[in-house]
Amino acid sequence: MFRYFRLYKHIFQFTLVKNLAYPQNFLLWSLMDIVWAIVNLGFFRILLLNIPHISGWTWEELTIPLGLFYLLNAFIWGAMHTNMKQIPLDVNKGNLDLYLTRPVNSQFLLSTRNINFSLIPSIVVGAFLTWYGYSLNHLLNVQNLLLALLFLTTSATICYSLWFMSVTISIWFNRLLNIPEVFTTVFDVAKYPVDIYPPLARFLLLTVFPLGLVLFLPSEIILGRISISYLFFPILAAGILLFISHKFWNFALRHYSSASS
Amino acid sequence: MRKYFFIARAEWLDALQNYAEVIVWIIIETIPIIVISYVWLSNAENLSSNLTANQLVTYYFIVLVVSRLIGFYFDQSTQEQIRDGTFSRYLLKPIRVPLAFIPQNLGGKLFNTIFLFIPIIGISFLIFRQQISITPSAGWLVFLISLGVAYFINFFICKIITTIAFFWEQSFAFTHVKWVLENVAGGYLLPLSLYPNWMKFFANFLPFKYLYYYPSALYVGDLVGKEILTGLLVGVMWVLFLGYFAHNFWRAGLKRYSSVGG
Repeated sequence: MFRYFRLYKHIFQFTLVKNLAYPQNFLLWSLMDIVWAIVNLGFFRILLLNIPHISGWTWEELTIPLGLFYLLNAFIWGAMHTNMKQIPLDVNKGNLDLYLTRPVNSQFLLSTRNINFSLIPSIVVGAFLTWYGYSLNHLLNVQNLLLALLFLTTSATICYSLWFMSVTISIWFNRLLNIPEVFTTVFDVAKYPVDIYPPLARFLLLTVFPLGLVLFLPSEIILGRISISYLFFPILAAGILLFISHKFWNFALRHYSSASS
Repeated sequence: MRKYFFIARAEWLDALQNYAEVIVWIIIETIPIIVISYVWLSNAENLSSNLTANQLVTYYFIVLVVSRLIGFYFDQSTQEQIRDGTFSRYLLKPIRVPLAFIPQNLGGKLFNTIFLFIPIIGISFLIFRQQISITPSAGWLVFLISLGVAYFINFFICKIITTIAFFWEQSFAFTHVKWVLENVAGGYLLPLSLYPNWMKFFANFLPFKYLYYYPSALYVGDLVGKEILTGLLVGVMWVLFLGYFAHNFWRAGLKRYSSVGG
């Protein structure tokens, strides 16, 4: 276990140096991240200028799931996107062999090899918005901050597992380079309360593809709208999905035929 | 002319190879429309805008159609080729670049229309058949002209952004600026009529509103009478201005271009 922490520490240091090697590029991407954060936030503000609430969620209450959204977004685009995007490419070019023959878990190595640090502004926006939401709703205390941290961990695990399973499908195809974008698109579903969707979609979002447990259920617990005992569901979903993603990867590898010599 | 037909055919054949990716594109393109439509429909009774929830669902449906019809994606790849020098191969061929990107784009579009566009429209229509209107409020002729205006504005903006790569290595930043402006000032995220007045004021000075907002607003009836005619005239003026500017800018860029290797 410690071996993996040490390995991740080295990857972290190496990619940080790599990111900072081109400061102009790094600053431009960070600036883009700020711009997109503002666009997203502006979208919700304008939406709420035309409707008083989104399925019962007012602007004051929405600031909490939105804050968590930005923090999760930083994880998705900063720590995951370049890695997930690379997997179908590796399958296509036959480069996956390089990772399968190394003496570490291939799923770990493929999921952690790159970090994009230009997403730091998203973390700042997310942290600020969560803090602002807590203040607006008079919820600023240690217990709620710890809850937010716990939910971010479970939500990140759920997102990672669903995403990794979706890119694993590329092993069965010679070329499926756009498969990583399915998750980033589907993740948009999580930006809104599940109540807006029809019953079948709501059921699926709370069970099979539990994106409904990623932002709004945690926020409902933090806001005290539902009992704290509901926190069991995201934890359970995260554990089960991580396990399935690992099993699915091992199963898929049995069908992998290298494209290289 | 024949050579441009072959470019279109090559793009069509290339697109045919990746059937699995087509299915994925269908999922990627359809989900955002479904999601945003449910946001409006679930709040249909609380709407304070001049558009009804059904009009808003139709608006996003038309935005999707417009984005498929007017989309140009050569800016990023050509910028990369200008940077690494592989752009030189275009200069050796008996074709005019970036004019050749139009038949290339049309070849890809023919493929998209058959394999991507029809299933996406079918799925969206199946889900929202009660809400989506099938006839444009301003009439088919005006709507089709507005699509032509949007197509050429988008082409010239892509050409201008590509040209920046001749002058600046980090020109990809402008592609992002274009995406932001398309989303915000183009009406891709939200119809401009829902914006506060100060935002509408700024959007009116830019050509981006003719990409998505203008055709979609014409379709759903968000624009009426004099607004339609003035919009068309201003849109055509933008086409002429951007076309002239893009042409001269490209020529200036080509003069600066240099690459290494044989």
